[in-house]
Amino acid sequence: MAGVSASYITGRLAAEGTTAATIEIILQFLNSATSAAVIAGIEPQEGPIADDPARGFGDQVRDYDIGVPVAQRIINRRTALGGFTSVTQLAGLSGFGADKFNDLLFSFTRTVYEISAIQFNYNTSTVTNDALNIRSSYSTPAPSPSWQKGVSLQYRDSPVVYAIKETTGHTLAFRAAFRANGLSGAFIRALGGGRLGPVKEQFVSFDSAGYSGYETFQLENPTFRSYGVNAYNIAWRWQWRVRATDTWRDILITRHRAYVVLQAPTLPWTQTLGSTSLPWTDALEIACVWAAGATTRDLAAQRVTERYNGSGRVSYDTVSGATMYGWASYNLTEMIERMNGGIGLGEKVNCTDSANTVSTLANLLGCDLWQSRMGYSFDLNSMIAIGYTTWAVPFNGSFSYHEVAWKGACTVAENVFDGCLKVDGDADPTSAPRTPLLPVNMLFGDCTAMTYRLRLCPPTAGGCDACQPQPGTTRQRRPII
Amino acid sequence: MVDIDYDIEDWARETTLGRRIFNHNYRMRGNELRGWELLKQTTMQDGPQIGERVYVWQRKGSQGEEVIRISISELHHWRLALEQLRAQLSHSMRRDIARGGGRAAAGDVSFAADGPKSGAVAAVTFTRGNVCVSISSVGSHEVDVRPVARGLDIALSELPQKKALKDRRQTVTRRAVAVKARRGTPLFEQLSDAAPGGGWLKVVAPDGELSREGDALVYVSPNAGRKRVGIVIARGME
Repeated sequence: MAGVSASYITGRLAAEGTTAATIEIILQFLNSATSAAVIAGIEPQEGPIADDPARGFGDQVRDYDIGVPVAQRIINRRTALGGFTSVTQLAGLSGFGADKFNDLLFSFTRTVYEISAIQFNYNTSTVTNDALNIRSSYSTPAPSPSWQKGVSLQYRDSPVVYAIKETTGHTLAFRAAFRANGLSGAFIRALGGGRLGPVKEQFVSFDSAGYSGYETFQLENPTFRSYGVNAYNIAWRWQWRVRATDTWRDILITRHRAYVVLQAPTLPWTQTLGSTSLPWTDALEIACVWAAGATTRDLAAQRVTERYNGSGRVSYDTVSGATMYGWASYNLTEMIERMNGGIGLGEKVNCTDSANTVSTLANLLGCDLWQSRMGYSFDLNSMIAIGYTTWAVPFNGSFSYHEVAWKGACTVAENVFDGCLKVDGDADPTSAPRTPLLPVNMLFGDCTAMTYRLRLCPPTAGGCDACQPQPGTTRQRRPII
Repeated sequence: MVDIDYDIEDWARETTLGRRIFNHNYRMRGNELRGWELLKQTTMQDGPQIGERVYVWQRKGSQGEEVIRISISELHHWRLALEQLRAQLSHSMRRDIARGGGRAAAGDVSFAADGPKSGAVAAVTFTRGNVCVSISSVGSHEVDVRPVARGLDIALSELPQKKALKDRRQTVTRRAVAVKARRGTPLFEQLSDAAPGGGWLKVVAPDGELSREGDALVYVSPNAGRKRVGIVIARGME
């Protein structure tokens, strides 16, 4: 079928009084479409181009708007031209007749054609009704706004973090800005969203230039709170219509990376704007995946400890047991690089590095752990150091000190999470046979019962007795860099 | 933080040469270790009294198996470097890290540890003047780090002969300085301006002590007179 003529196109534009803005929007749409499917949408009802009900055959069979074959021809023409500069360049395309041109004109003469930006964290002083304040890494702030037209292309380009505890019982909202052509207002919603749920329909007004400014939207039925810690790729299919009886028309699909933590992160993490200790999405990417599904702080800390110990990316420094990733501050940036397959500061770690990693990542999820030491100079039972598979007693049988992720006041009465080593978990840890046991949420103890302390050290004056908690001088949460 | 009683006064008595050496803004640039590749450098501490940078090197062709981590902390005074050495040791879980005598000797005061797999000296920590250096083998294959320690110690402590200078960025001068006995004489009022472009300044005095006071480098000699102070300046790349 021969395509529409250039003179028909010119005549229709004049008859409709089509504005330069409308033509510009059509050209921008055709020139930016990444595939034929983007132009065609899902026929017969859905997609960016809708049938003009006032023209053509009056049904959705013969009036079928632009489909994939014609859309592909449009893209081929675009490629040949190096981009459209005039809508008359659509003339003569096979299958692109007068009805389809009218559909194109109809679709963009009155339309919501752009999502300009989304702000998940629009109230930076609270985390109950919206997302947390975040940054990407120590050196890089988070994207602002959270999603931006032309900038946010992949899921991770648009991160958002919600805290289960603080948001429970509250309606979650965010803000989004749109642009429209030929409309003073429209209803807008978004479908999909996975466990964040769809976006509730909201009426949005546009000024004479087509700008909406930021409008507040609500999440309609978020279910993420039931699933604990997690990291999700979510997509929203945005739609608009003017009247309740109109068919919804697509605007765009936006993609986001949603991180869910149990509660607002504890120190060293803060919610202070501008701080380099705002939760890093680079760290959340590790912590949320490691602790996925955890619905309690203990379980989250346990999973972080287990995944760190079993990461295969680090091993114990059997030469001197030296701290490699920092003791004045903790170089989490380098540890993240190491965990992600890079060199970091090398594969060797010690107990301080391990306590830093476990407590810092667990606290990012809302746990409340400390780095604290025990000591000093105490004898040891056999253990399996991180990165090893064999039982050994390091350094001629003793540690000068040991450091773990520790709960509460870090005394004999609190539990520890030790990602650095496995102890013997059987009834007699002083001799073979041995049963590997990673100390997760294990009572430190006082040498009278079989707790962490007696699994780490023999029941002697130089062992368990010398292995004393040292919270007074060592309990801390190191700043992160 | 540990009960191991390191006697820092003993270390101070052993620090003779280092008292009259001062390094400012030393940076490894990637050509210092033949056969090795500098993978990265990062700042670990950047405080008013200390700057610590860590360098990670990989032996060429070792595919990540032979990796060394070099920490270089620069302080305002050689005594602070000894404190930094003590802090480094107190953050090591091994009790019996030995003094780095014999072939493992480097700097003013040093400690060394053998790798259990190879028996090689796989960790050396030492001070030289106001600098504390810690070198560790951090790959899966233990590396003898003594040659690296010796090379770094030479770089930090020796004055090269002018004609032996291979690095065109470096200049060596010997400045005559008139000093009064036991009175501080500023050699540089503004250390940050001493070596252009964020470069490296190394000063070796004939006697006495060098230390940083504010942004000035101050020389205190036990005897009055004209002193010839060796100065090496390496232009920076900034």
